[in-house]
Amino acid sequence: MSFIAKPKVANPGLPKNSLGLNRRDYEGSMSTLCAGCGHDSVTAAIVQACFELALPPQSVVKLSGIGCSSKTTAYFVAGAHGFNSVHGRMPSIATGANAANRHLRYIGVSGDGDSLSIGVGQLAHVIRRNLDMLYILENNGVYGLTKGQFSASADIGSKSKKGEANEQEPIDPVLLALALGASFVARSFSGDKEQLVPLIQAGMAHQGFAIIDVLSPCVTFNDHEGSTKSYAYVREHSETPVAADYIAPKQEIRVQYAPGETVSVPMHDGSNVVMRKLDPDYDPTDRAHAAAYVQERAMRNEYVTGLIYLDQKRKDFHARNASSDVALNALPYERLCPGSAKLDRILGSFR
Amino acid sequence: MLTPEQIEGITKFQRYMDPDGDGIPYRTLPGISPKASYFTRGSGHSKYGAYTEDSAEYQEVLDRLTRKFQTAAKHVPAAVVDGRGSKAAIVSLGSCDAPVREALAALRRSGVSIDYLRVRGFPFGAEVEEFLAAHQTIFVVEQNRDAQLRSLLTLETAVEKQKLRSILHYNGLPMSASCIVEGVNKALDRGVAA
Repeated sequence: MSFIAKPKVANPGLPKNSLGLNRRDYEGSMSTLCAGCGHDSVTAAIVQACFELALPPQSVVKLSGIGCSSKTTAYFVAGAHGFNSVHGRMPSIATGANAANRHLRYIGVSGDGDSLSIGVGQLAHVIRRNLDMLYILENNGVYGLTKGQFSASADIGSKSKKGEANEQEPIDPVLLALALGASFVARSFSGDKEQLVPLIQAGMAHQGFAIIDVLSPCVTFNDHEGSTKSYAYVREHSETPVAADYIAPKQEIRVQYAPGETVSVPMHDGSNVVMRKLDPDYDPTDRAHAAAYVQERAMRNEYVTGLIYLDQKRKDFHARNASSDVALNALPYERLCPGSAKLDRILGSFR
Repeated sequence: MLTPEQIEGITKFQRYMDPDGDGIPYRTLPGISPKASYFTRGSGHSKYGAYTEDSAEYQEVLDRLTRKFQTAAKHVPAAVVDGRGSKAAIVSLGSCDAPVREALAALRRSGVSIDYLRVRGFPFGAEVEEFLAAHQTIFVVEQNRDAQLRSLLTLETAVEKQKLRSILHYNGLPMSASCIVEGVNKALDRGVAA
């Protein structure tokens, strides 16, 4: 595609965050995706979220697999380490990196092919591990890089660009995550930045595995009449029972919420996630209820978006494994490798 | 690996540059400095770490990898040589080691003296080439049907193919010394120099 290269110098009038960085400092290289791709909007939301959180760029780690969605890690936070893993294997790379250093922010970006076909086993187990990371699944229902075949998230009856209807059962990542015990489950729409940015921030603040299924239309292969993942369809078929607002640490909760309709959940890093109930009957802390609600709405061809489920109490990967609080690269060698005498003593204890 | 202090001392860190010519670029750990970041991409990259579809830039990276393998040959664990001066030798690796040693002792008792080289790394170091050149008959002992170690030796060194005789074990059971002793004795019976 043709594009206008990004100017190297940012407008001096751009607002700065507490680190003195502007939004441009959280951008990456130029996107090579199709003009209008939902994924670019998700990238912009990640940039916005990281800018507002005033994250030092080097404190972020970007991980992805293979696919249109996975390319986007090159397009945000240029000052962060990034890793394009083997197709569908991003969770393993994330687990290894996180095990070595728990003090960085891990953002995984994947797609419906990378997560629900080739990488479904990896996704299932990283959910069970409750790894402290944000996993963004950019979901468009098709394999965009290989000319638009149906993916595993394509709905029954959804039509391909040439008019063929999908007959296979879809995998709903939200239901999958709920079934496997994910501790933060959300769904959003690439076209709804107002909803997506606070969800990304809350997902990053959450200590444990946070997954956001972002419906992110493929303008080239899945944005036509008859598709259930087009911009028009998603806009018309979304319902949000709980909206989430992210309140940074030390930031005052200024917005006046009507009593009884909001719950403020303190996060481990001192921030708060304020959940506004738009459907008074919805309980985002009840897993079975959330799953039933999502399923029931799906039967009515409705996507449930917003913060669907939050469990702050589940132990994360590090708590369960009693792993080192100090990053392994900061530990002295003697502690990393106690030596053969110590090993002999340990082996001796089993005799 | 570059430390945060070393990173501060350079103008721009580039993950795939090879400033000291050993084929192994410096790397950094996540989180140490805003100047240390790099992107491990799934597609082709230039020596600067940027995305590329340029043939010359791509080939340059592959040529650097050749230098990396050459450097690696000097750093992987060196082969262990046991005995020198015999005409015949055994070359083996890994878990064949114990049966080979047992077989060498048994052969020695029957008056047959054979040298032994245990490969411990790949790419092969110079000592492997030297050992092969110094022997007339070389028994390559390994536990697979396809003589994979022998194939690597013929591909990677200047050894004459005829000098290499395979002793293969692949019946599903652990290897024993007897199959090596038998293999060597059969060859000796056929008049192979030992």
